[in-house]
Amino acid sequence: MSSIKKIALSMAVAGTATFAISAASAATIVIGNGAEPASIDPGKIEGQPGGMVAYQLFEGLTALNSEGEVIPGAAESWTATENNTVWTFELRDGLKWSNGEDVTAADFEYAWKRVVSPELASPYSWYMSKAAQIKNAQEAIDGTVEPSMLGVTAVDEDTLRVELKQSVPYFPSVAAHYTMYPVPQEVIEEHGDMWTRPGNMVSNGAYKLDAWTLNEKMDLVRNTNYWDNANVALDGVTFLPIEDENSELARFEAGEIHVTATVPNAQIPRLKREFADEFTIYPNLAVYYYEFNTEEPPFDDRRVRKALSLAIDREVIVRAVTKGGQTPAYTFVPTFVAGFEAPTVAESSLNQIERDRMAIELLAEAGFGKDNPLEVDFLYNTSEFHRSVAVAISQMWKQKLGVEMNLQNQEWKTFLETKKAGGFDVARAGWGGDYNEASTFLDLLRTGHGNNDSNFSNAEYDRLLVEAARAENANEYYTKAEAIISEEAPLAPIFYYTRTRMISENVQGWPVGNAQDVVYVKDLSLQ
Amino acid sequence: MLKFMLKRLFVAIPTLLILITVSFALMRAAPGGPFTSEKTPPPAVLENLNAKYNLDKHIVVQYGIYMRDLILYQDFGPSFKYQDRSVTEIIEGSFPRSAIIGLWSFFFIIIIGIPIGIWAAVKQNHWQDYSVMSFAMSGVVFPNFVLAPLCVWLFAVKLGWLPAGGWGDGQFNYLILPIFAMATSYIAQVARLSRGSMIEVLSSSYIRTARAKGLPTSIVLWRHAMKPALMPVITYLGIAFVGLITGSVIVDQVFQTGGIGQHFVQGATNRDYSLILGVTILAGALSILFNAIVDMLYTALDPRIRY
Repeated sequence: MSSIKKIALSMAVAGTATFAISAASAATIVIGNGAEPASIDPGKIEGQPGGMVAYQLFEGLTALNSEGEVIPGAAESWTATENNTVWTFELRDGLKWSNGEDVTAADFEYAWKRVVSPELASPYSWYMSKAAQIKNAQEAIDGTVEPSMLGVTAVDEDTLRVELKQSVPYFPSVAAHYTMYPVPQEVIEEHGDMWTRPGNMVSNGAYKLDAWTLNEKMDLVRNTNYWDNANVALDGVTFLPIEDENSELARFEAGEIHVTATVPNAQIPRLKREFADEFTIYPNLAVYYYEFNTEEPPFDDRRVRKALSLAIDREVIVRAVTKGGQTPAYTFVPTFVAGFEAPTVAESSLNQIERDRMAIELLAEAGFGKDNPLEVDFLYNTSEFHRSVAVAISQMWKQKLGVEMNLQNQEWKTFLETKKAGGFDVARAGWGGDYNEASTFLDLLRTGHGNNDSNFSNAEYDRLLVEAARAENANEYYTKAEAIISEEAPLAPIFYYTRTRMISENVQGWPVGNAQDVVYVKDLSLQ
Repeated sequence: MLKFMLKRLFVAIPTLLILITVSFALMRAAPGGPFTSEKTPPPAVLENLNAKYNLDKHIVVQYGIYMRDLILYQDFGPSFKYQDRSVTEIIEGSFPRSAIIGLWSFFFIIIIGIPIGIWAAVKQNHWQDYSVMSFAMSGVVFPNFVLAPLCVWLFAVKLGWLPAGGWGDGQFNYLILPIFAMATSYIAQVARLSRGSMIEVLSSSYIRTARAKGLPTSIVLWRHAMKPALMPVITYLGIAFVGLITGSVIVDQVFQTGGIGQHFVQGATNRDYSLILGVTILAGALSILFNAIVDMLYTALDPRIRY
């Protein structure tokens, strides 16, 4: 009966809560965070809501500036040797945890080894092996070597040495990710899973955790032990995990929130009119696309896939359907990814009339046309937004190519399972980059990648990605790989996502130039 | 009466066991799992996660582990979604909030719904009756997912009288809109039920006898008609009460009060097996309990009923 008793007791306690009005501090910013983070332990976080909290609580070796470029974080400098396979980071002097203890290189070593340990079962542990390419990361995750064998060593208190499996020229950019944040060993060993609770949690960022009520709010307050505390303007942050976009907007309009996580798509025209200064659109490192089941006839024929891709009028989709300032996508990698040079592909260089003509020809070659219509089973996850895009595209395909499209929607996890099992001809998909480099997208189409749901397999493509990882300048390989995507059309990129937020006029310094949407509240201020 | 209670308890245990077993099986039959996501972790990571949550074991073994922990340690297990939290902790945090909103709503349902229903019955086919019934009909056709955002728009955004959402440490001004959204359709239902039931009772022969004897209307109403008229209302309120205190996904989503209602839906969406079982067991146990209480209330209201 113990849990029942506890519940009854907590009911009684909550029932006597005082009705006093708490004075809200003017220097606290209130941010809508979209959803309740599943965890705020950097080793277990996956996704934006958890990341958003971690950016404030912790500081990694490196950070990103408002344009998404790498800047020093806890490390003040770094060097690479031996063809970018060994990296050495020098930490700043006088770094402290929020409990006053020193932050040392050993804290990073501990954190990284913890992430790859099978015991923690971190959902983002793959980041250490696939993105950061740290030596022995994959082996540790697989359980074939001890996590202590991971290629990271605290040479002394201030020096961290990282050995990689292969060259990663952009490693400092990778190291800005929350999965690579340091964590306090003693605190974790003392409290176990409970270390992320208010009162227990110790962190090294500009803020520390003060209060957290699941599905209501999370309060962060200034960490006076932070090395750059003198330059931090705001005393606190409150995150609200509001999933319902309309409710979030209402709370913004009622003046309860400074920044929303998003806005409801249907409201965009009104918001543009009534809140011209607050309604904000900026690029997001993510692509919206349709994937083809390349193993299912007739979609194993590249001409069929290419024809369908060409016939999508992306301009119309973003202008008349999505309306959120999205950019038409003709390549899988967003054109604004650092260093990426998009190849000249047919989709982008022709006008829509020419593309349509080409599409009709290709489909006719493959044996389909208005007399012998192609039938497409289209799968998407239940959402008004996805439906409206699909309806528009099915119209385009029908009018131009005579394609008969059957729309089928499924609940999110059912949809993911169906897609994995290959139960579709064409399916809606989206992919967000984990770091600002083309491989975070291109990797997806490697043979056997866990998210390669189109089961695309191209030896030349795989070879180019291997070459790119070894090369001094990877971008030329990326351009070639992207040209293969365009030629073979395992997927049809449709548009690059945007972030749409309501940002109150008195918020200064929101990093709208950072497509990864990495926001450090320490750089913001309220006027 | 004691025998009745023991009998009820005796039936409650297998009922709950069936509920748990069926929910467990249904949850597992749903496609996907707690770790299915758009960015599928590599197989090795997935294996580690499955091992950590015993998902690598045979489903019967998992069921056995769950039942053992539940019965021996009253442990609902760890949440699959909120990885650092136990289901018990999540319920402890969210149930009191829904219960407070639910209890307030219940209070208003009784002090508003029953009197206006009876008033309408007494004034049958007069303007009082018509206005109560039009209110009741609109309460039924305006579901709370329409009513709640409308209230926020009017009272928080346009007029600025009340907060648009949040719990606000339980201050009453934060609770007004959630209670309003929660209670309105129930008030309407209860008003309809009380009216219908009262009209039926008032036309029965023993009431006519009482009137023929020359008893004043108030005595007829209070002493003779009230108790039997309340019987169907109490049946309804017993079930409604459980629904009220276990919250509403709409209220939780629109007002972000941090209540338990959202877990019934999100637990399923996230395939948070242990959380959905936890809230199901809670709602199931409460339903059994309040059905028993309603049955006992019957004996107080109707002397013909004995257990």
